[in-house]
Amino acid sequence: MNQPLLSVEDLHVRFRTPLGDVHAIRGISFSIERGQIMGLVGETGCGKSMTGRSILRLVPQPGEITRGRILFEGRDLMPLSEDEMHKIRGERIAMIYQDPAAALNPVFSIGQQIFMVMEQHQANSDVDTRQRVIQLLEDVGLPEPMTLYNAYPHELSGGMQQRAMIAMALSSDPSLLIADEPTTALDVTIQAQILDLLITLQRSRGISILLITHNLGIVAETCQRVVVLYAGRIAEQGDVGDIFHRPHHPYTKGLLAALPNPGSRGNALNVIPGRVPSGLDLPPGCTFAPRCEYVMDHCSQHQPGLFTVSPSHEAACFLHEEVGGKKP
Amino acid sequence: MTSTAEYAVLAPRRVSASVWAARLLRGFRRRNILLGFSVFILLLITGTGILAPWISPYDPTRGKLENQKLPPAWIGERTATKTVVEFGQSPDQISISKAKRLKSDVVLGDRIEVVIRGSGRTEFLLGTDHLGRDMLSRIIHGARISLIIASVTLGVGGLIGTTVGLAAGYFGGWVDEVIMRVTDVFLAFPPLLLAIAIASALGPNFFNAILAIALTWWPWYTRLVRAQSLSLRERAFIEAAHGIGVNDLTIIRRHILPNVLTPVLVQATLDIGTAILTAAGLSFIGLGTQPPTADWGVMINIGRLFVLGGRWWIATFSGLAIFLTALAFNLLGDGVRDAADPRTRGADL
Amino acid sequence: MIAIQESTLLRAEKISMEFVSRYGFLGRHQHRVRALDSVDLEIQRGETLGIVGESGCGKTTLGRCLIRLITPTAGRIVLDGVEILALDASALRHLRREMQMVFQNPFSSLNPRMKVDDLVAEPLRTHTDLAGGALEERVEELLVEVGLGAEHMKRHPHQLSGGQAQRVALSRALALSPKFLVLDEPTSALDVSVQAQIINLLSQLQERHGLTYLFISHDLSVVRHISDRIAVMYLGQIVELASSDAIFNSPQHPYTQALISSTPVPDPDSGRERIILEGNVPSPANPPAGCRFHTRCPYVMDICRRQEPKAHAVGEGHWAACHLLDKAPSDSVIDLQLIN
Repeated sequence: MNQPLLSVEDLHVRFRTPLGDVHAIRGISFSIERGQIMGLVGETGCGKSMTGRSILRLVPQPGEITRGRILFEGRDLMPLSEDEMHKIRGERIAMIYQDPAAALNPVFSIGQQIFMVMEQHQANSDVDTRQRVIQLLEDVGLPEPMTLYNAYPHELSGGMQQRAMIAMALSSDPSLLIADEPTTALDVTIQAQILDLLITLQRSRGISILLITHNLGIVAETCQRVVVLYAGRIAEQGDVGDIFHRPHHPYTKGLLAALPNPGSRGNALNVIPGRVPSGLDLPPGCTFAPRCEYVMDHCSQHQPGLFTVSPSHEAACFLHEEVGGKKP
Repeated sequence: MTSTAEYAVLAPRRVSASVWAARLLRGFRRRNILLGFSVFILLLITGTGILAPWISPYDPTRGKLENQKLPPAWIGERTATKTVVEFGQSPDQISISKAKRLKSDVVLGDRIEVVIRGSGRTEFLLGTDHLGRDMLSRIIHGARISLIIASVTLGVGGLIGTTVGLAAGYFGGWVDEVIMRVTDVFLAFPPLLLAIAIASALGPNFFNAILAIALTWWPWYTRLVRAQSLSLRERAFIEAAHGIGVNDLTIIRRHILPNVLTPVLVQATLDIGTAILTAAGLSFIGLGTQPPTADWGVMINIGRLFVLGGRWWIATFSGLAIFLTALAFNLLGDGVRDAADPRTRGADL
Repeated sequence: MIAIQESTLLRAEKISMEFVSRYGFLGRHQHRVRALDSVDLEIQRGETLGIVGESGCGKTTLGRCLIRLITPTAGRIVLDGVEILALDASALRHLRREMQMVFQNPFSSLNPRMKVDDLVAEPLRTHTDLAGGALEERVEELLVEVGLGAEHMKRHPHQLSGGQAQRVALSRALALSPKFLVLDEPTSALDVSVQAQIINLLSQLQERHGLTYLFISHDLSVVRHISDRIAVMYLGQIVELASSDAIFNSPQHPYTQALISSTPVPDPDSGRERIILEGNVPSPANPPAGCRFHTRCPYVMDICRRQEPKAHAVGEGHWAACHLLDKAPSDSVIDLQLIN
């Protein structure tokens, strides 16, 4: 079992727009081990959500995956037919979204919706299936699952809706859950409940979770591994301790320093100057070079690959070229 | 959802005027044949409407009786065999009195050769009507009347509708309640029936027809503008303007009106065809423009009397003009709507 | 007349706000939501008062009431000696120059059809006689003040980044040299790196112009960074009010404690014990009897279900409304303060 559950290799996604081609993802490679929670973190437009959708081959028009392999449970998903993909999506990889209210169908009760999903994937008697739905609702911590079975989405609070979404996602016992900003629309106390639930599920069911978020605090408290994205490329990836205690990429360092902390009151926060470049007009060389305080001549002409900092830790920055040497 | 956030950096968030124009052009390309056709027809009609007094070959309201009921130019002199009957009813019959003038010894039931008189002449391209007036000139002037009717009714209807709708949507409360109930009353009648009622109450003439149509039209714009203003009123930039201390009238003029104008214009473009049809309908039943004015509706009304007698051209060409104009405006309206509609726009990121 | 200390800029007494929506035929049924319930608040000149709480707690409503963007159903608000709830519409419009608001999402608070220079000129045109070159000069001055320049003047909001658009919103708010600014989640829609820029800018502007801020946010770490004092709200009431340090170092109300412990911190080894509250925030349309927090409180007692707790002074300028504090004799409260 030393093969990772999912590995994404050299993924490229391009959007053709009237204003020109936008390269939303430009060569991302990472892998998720079984039973791991992996954080995909970055600012608006870094490509984190698109990466999540690419894994399920759900890139919206006019985007397309132009290159790359997605190896899931030892099988490349790219050449699969739409029918085969459909089975993977429902049964092996599930996804939950930021806005559960939009993802749930308002005209069916919570129980019916999960029932219908289960019915599609396995042949059991109706009574058994119903029993399993109620069990699932209980598993995700919904109170009075028997009553909630017949409740409609609008009767539930945001946190309960997200729990119902998670129950639906778990209904076919997937091995990977992609959670795209699952708590962004929720209040902090509810967010804590949902994150707690995700950690519990990972421990009790051994499910792997790809947690897509912009919140570094959530990553630090929930994930074991972290991938930091910047403008469609990986800036840095490593174990959670590597990223938060020993960040090597100037972008990661800048992000962490920009967060307000208990001792920062009265002082100016660290800022990363400038702004994220437009996908239409990317600088040559390192995409972060125009904002980087350590920028060297070299950076504006050449794109850094991922350099190994330690066995678990890689950073895409020429500052670390000598430290680790180029990755094969 | 997150996807929208992801898109944000891929392309500029909102799109400027030039991109808007590009979208309209793309719309043109997508259905280039239909839209090109509609634009061509509209340019033609607008051009002839504006230039009518200079380009029409004859006075549209005066004709010589000796030229009456001439067919279009491409229909030459011909002969026909007709049966002699007591009273001529159909094109293949001739009344005994007329037949006697051609040939004195006919009796009922005979079949005689008749030379159809007054056949198409090049000086009257589309023929003439029962008073010898040039059909082409009348249709050219009719374009003018139709355009005036369409622009004035939609202008008046749009102006009333927008003003009232802004008041209803922005102030809400009892203002809204009163205005909406009034529109309900107007909308409870079929529009043509209401226009007929108003036109007949006011007396049949050109001006009253316009007024009648405008009065049936404004509630639609009121509803549209009210719905838009209601949602705009809740937008943060309106609250921000209140926070700065801007007064209500300025807020309506500066912040709400520019944002409701686009949907109103789209709706108006879609409505022009219908307005022209309605006006023609009123004229057709004698409640609109009165003879001898060259109005397409009036022309059909008169022309229909002669269709059975074989003089199809008097009604046909004006009908064709109405049909083409209405069709062209509807096609253009669709194009404008597609360009302005965020849903059909979404596809191009 | 209320006796007001020289240092107090704004004082609000027993502010209540009830939203009534009518439905059914001719509006015969009513739906009442009590968004604010008897809130008392005092804001000192030059300070930043942070308001934290979850959605539905009334923090945004409070901000809007304090500058009378909406008029509360009951209470008094005195800003710099002027009782603002007694003003008529035109006097209120005039007073708007003293109090301004910055909203969460600049792309919705800026009219998408106006250009930056018109947006910034709008408050000046409304309240001053500036025109032509002088107006243009002032607009440019304001833009420079927030870190933008003349090159941004002819742009529409959608041609700006989120950070730039929020700067435009700030320069609009600053245009009339107000005394009091309500900042309603001004950085929530922004990315981390941009958020830091805006927070720094807010601090600079406050120092330069002696501004007083009411900073509304759900993000505790941001509020802690920027605020001198913090008020914690739950279901339309302030449950705890204290200096920023006191709120974080010795939170007294169980809700404050849970809120702080629920906020994720960017440190994987913090090893904190998280307090995870059960259940959801009850609807403000039908708040629980007694203490409003009792349905979720880990320390709930009998009295909490029956009686609303009073605000207790637990230290210098530190107030909390919880029955747990009833029992503590007043001197032990002071001890608590000394320890922290």
